[in-house]
This record gives sequence, C-alpha cells and structure tokens, in this order.
Amino acid sequence: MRIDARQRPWIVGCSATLLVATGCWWLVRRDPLAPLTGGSAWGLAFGIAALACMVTGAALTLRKRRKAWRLGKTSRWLSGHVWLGALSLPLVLFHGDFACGGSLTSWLMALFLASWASGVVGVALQHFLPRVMTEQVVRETIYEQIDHVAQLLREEASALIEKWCGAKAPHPEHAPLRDFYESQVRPFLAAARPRASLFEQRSTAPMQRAHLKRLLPAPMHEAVDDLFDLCDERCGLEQQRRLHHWLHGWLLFHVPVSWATLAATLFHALGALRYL
Amino acid sequence: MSAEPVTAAPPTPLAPVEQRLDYGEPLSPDAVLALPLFQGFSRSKLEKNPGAIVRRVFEPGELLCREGEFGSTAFVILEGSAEVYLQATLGRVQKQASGGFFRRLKQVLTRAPAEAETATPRRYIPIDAPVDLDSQRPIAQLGAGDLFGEMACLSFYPRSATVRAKTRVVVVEMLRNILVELQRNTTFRAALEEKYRARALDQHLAGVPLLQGLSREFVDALRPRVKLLRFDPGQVIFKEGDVADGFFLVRIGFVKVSKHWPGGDMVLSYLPRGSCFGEMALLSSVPRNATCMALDHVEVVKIESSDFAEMVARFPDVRARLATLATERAAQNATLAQRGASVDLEQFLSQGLMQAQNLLLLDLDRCTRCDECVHGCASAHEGVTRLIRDGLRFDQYLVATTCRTCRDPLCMVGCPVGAIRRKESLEIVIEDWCIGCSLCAKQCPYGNISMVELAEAGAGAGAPERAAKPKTKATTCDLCMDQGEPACVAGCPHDAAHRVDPLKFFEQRLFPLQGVTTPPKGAR
Repeated sequence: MRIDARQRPWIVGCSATLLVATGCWWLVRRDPLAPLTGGSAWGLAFGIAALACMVTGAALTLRKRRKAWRLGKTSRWLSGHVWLGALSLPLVLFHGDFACGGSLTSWLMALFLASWASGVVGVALQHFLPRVMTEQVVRETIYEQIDHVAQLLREEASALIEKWCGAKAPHPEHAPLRDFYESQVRPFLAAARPRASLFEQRSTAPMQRAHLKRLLPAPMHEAVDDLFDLCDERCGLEQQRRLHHWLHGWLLFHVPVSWATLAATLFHALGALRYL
Repeated sequence: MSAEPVTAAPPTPLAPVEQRLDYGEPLSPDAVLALPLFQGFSRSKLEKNPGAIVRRVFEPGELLCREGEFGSTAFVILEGSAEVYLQATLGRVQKQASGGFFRRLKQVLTRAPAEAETATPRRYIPIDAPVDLDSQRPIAQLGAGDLFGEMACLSFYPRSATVRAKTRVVVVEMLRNILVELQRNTTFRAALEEKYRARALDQHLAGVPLLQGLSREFVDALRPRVKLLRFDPGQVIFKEGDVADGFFLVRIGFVKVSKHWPGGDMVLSYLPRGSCFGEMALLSSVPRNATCMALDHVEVVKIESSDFAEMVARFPDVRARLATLATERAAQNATLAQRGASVDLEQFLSQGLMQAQNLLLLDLDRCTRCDECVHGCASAHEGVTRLIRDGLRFDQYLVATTCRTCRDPLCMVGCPVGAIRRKESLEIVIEDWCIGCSLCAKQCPYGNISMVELAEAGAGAGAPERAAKPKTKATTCDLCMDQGEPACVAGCPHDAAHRVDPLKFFEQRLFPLQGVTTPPKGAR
C-alpha cells in the first residue's frame, strides 16, 4: 500500500482519534484518587478500543478469503488494517498506562510490538519497493514464471551460439565468442540463483562487452549484443525475484505473529474479565 | 508497448485450398451434369477441376462433418436425411452469485429471484446451413437438395455444427471453386432461393427477436417479394449518404458497419448471421448514416422499403422494437464518435491502445504483484480467471492481458455460430452456444480470449453425442457489468487496478502530470 493523498481520510480520522484518546488519558491520569490501570474503567475502555482495532484489522484476512462478496473495496479494508493497526499501539499503551504489568502481559506486549513493528516494516517495503521494481526490472514477468523464462533464455542463448559458431568444428575466428559463452554465459544462465556475476555489475559488463567485440569480427558484434541482452534479462529476473521476496517475505513473520497476538490478546481479555 | 495498429480485414484463411478431394467417388463431368442441381453448369469448369466434386455415401450414424473443425468443402444432399446439431454443451463460465452481501441478503429477505446474468436474446442459433437451431433444442433436419457448409467452404470458417446421417445419405461434396461457380449458375440460384423462401425465411424472420410477432399472413405475402442478394468480400452493400431502399437480414457471412471519420473510417460493428441492419434510415426517412460492407462472402435478405413500411405500420410492436434498436445504435455510434474525436488519434495508434474502449491498468508504482486481482477475477468466475497480470507497459502502468472491448472487435469476425457479440454497453459477451472452435481467441490481436475446459453439465436437449466429452469454451472479461465494479478492481488491496476509459485516461497522459497521486478521471 502506498502512503499518499488517498490515505488522507484515514490519517485525519486516526489522528483525531489519537488526539481524543491522548486527551482522555492525560485527564484521567491527573486524578490521583483513581489511578489508571488495565482493570480500571478507563483502562478497560482503552483496552477494548485497542482490541476492536486489532479485530477490525484482522478482518482483512476474512475479506480476502471472500473475494466474491462485495463488502467494499479490498483497498479500503487494507487501509483500515494499516491505520487501525497503527492506532492500536497508543491505545494499548494507554490501556496499561505505559506499564507492561506482569510477565504474561509483558510477553503479550512483546508479541504485540513484534507484530506492530513487522507491520510497519511491511508498509514501508510495500510503499517503496513497487516503484523500485518498476524502474529496475523492465522486462518483468509473473513471479511463478521466472524459472520458465530463465529456461527459455538458456535455450535462446544456446541457439544463438549454434547459429553463429556452429555445433561442430567452430571457426577459429568465432572461438572467443564460444569461449566466453562456455566460461561465463552458460554457467550464469544455468545457475538457479545467479549472483555476483560480471553481468550484474554495471561497471564491468560494458567493458567486458567492448573487449569481446574487439576480439571478434564486426558481423559478430550483433551476437555479442544479443548474448549480453539475454544476460541482462536474466539479471532483471533475478532482481525481480529478490525484490519479490522482500515485498512478500515479511508476511511470513507478520501473519503468524499477528494471529498469535490476537489469540493471546483475546485470552488476556477473557482472563482479565473473569477476575474483574 | 509495441502493439501493431489493428485494421479490419477478412480473416486469414485457416485452411489451405485443396485442389482435389482424395476421398469419395470422383464424379465425371457427365455424371455431374446429369444431376438436376447442376443443370446448366459449365462443362469446361468441371473438366478443368477433376476431383473437385465427389459423391459420398454415409450410413446412418456416420458423421458428415463435426463442429469446430476447419473445412474447405460444401455439401449438397442428394438422397436421405441428416441431423444437424451442436455437440457442445450449452454453457459458459458463470459468475458467482452476483451482487454484494447486502444485495444477496435482500434477495433472501424479499425472496426476489437472482438476476439473470445475461439473458440470451435469440431463439435460434445461426449455423452454416439452410436451417437455424432452436436454442432450447439445438437439433434440426436436413434433407435432399439442402446445401450446407457454404461459409466454411467460401471463407474457411470452422464448421458451425455437427451433421450426422439419420438415414443412408448420399451427398455431393465440392471444393470452393465449384461452389463459387454453382452460385453463379442461375438454375441453382433459383432453386436455392425457392428453397429458402419456402422453408428458411419463416425461421430466419422468427430468429430475429426484433421481428417476432409478424403474422403468418404477412410473412406469406412477404415471401415472394424478399430478395436474396450476394456480396463478395469488400463489396459495399450501401454507403453512408445513400438513399435508404431496404431493410436487410444477414443470412451468411459478416457485415462490417463503419462510419467515415477524419483520419479514417471508424468501425461501429460487425454483424453476424441473424443480424439485421438498415432500419435507422428507414424509420427516420433520412439517408444512410453508415456504410455497410461485406467482410467476407455475404448473403443478405433484402426487404424492400415499401414492405418495411407496411410491416412497421401493421405491427406496432415490431416498430417499437426497431425504433428502440435504432435509438440504441444511434447512442452507441454517438458515444464512439465523441470518444474518437477527443484525443489525438495518431499518437496512440501505434501502441494499439486507441483501439481499446476499456483497459485494465495496473499502477506498477502501487502494485505489489500480489495477484489479488487475478484471484478476485477467478473467484468471481467459478475459479477461471479472465485476466493475466502480464502485458505491455505504458508509462508506469501495466496494460493487463484482459479484454479491452476494442472499437474494432476483430474477435467477432468469423464466429461460425455468432456466439460472440458486443452488448449495447460495449462489453464483449460469449453466448452459451459457443462451440469452442477458438477462432475468436486466434483473431484477438492481444490474446485476451482464453479457451477453458468446461465441466460437463450432463447430456440434454436431445442432441446425439452431446456431452460425450468435455468441451472447451471461449471466455473473456465481461467487465463484471452487473456487479457495479470489476472483481479485479474491487479485489486489489493496493488501489493499483483501474478499469479506465482509455481516451479520458490518455487525454490526461498527453500532458506531463507531475505529482499526480489521484487516479485519472476515467478510472473506476
């Protein structure tokens, strides 16, 4: 989700709510006769509000699972998830008056903070990385198709070399191209996760290309360019894979921790209500 | 972004022209000329084309031709009778129950029936034979003297239906050169027209929903007066500005309707078999407001203007329906013309985007490549997605691979059963009687029509061999028109997917938009 002017209503709404909540918290803690604790009336009110934010935020999962139901645009649910989730932190802090309580509640707080922080990281990543991917990966493909496209690039490179150098008894003039292909290109294209290759280094790749062209007759320069283009595309695909992992990898942490936090919070609420 | 400019052209022949048939019993020129149907046929033509016409015998149950297969021959039945039917199960990838949660709740509470997704407007399914098939029971009989397979033979379209021998059937099967010559033969033409008037005209008129309600007496009076006219590919039926002299029903082929526009003609529609045209000028007593041209080998039934006037005077219901159609077409044409005028055509033609009327754009600066749009589409259509999150880029937008509702919908050209059409609201719909020949998918220049295998819905409708094996059906984006918002757009959590009116969108993109963060005006 990109944080921009489209989020203004949410930002305004959550800021106003935060302002009101902060005012209430400030007024309540000025009363020395009724200290603010998790079990006090105001503490409970903050806690319930925080829980409501968390549950509403978690409803995004339900919305995503019921795509055919027209329950408003999913983007609004995601905005709600993000901004209500963000709002839940100050409310939780007000709920305990910035104290963590016993060891169980301290663990719960740690879990909540981990979930909240991972959410913030996720929002930041999803704010910046799509644009990075658009700029850096020009020939993007569907993530699941990367391996298939890589295989096609391998075949194309192999066909290119066969076309220019022949399958058998290569001409001595063509040897540098074949050698370069055998030593650099083929291993690079064949690697499942090619890394730290000369093709990925923007400074060395043009030098290597120019050097190879000097070794070859002019008609073969086209083949060199084609070969480097294939390698460029492979680099782009690998970059896409890396960025994709960054874009979605954090969810592997955020989702289970968030569900654990929600479950623990419900347990905490029910337990606390029992002893009220 | 390197899509080629798209121009309307007759479909590329998909089957090679055979010079001779290497099956059946070749007929000598004498044997051919002995047949009553071929009286007056050119002997030299027969001598020049040995093996281009054969006699074939089919035992009961044998297939003469199968729907969806490409063929280059036409048949005339000499003896016996055959059944013509659709093997394909009627159906398509359906949408999930339409409407939102609250609409469904309201339906439950008020016990209102769910809205039909798209009502099938036709009673008859047009096929490449002298009869049409009843959409409720798509099976009909062909008998001695019937000619079928003309469209497949002349224009290399896929076979529109399966024909099976009911009794012992003797046919004459011929190649294109013979059929073309035969159609020039006055004896044959007269016999064909007579047969058409006697048998097929009623059904043809009944198959046009707009003309339903004509009395038997009127049709009988009309029968000798209608004209069957043939047009070769590219031949103009009437031109914009001509005086209106008749109303037309398409019997064979496709008619291209276009309007002159600065910078080139604008295609308004392609009319398949079973469509009608020419009513606007007659109803308003004005000159023709569009040019109609035969896209391939076209045969039309012409109802003279005097008969048309009598028809609309005697049948107010028909008049009302025709007037409604004329109004809708006028509004649609006006919309197209207005859109066409609002942007610089030249600049975007090379990118193919000018052809589109409704694009799915993904803002790549916002899109996290989560594929929720694809899942949203799939969940709205029985698990079959109608979009692929891949395609060409325009600026920071990805033009997703899904129907663009082109101005010049080439996909509609050549459908042997007229199952693909454009609704008044401009989206392309594929009717249940699609036979899965995949011609529309091949014709779409952007690969936006996909073929999906449908689960069997069970045999029915009395057609033999129906539901014998799973059939593929063409499917394309219908813009989720009945749901208010496309499922892909509603399902995108990052507000990155937009169905846009591209011309409004392009209008804004013509100018540098620094710091624009809101979606363009055309986005929905």
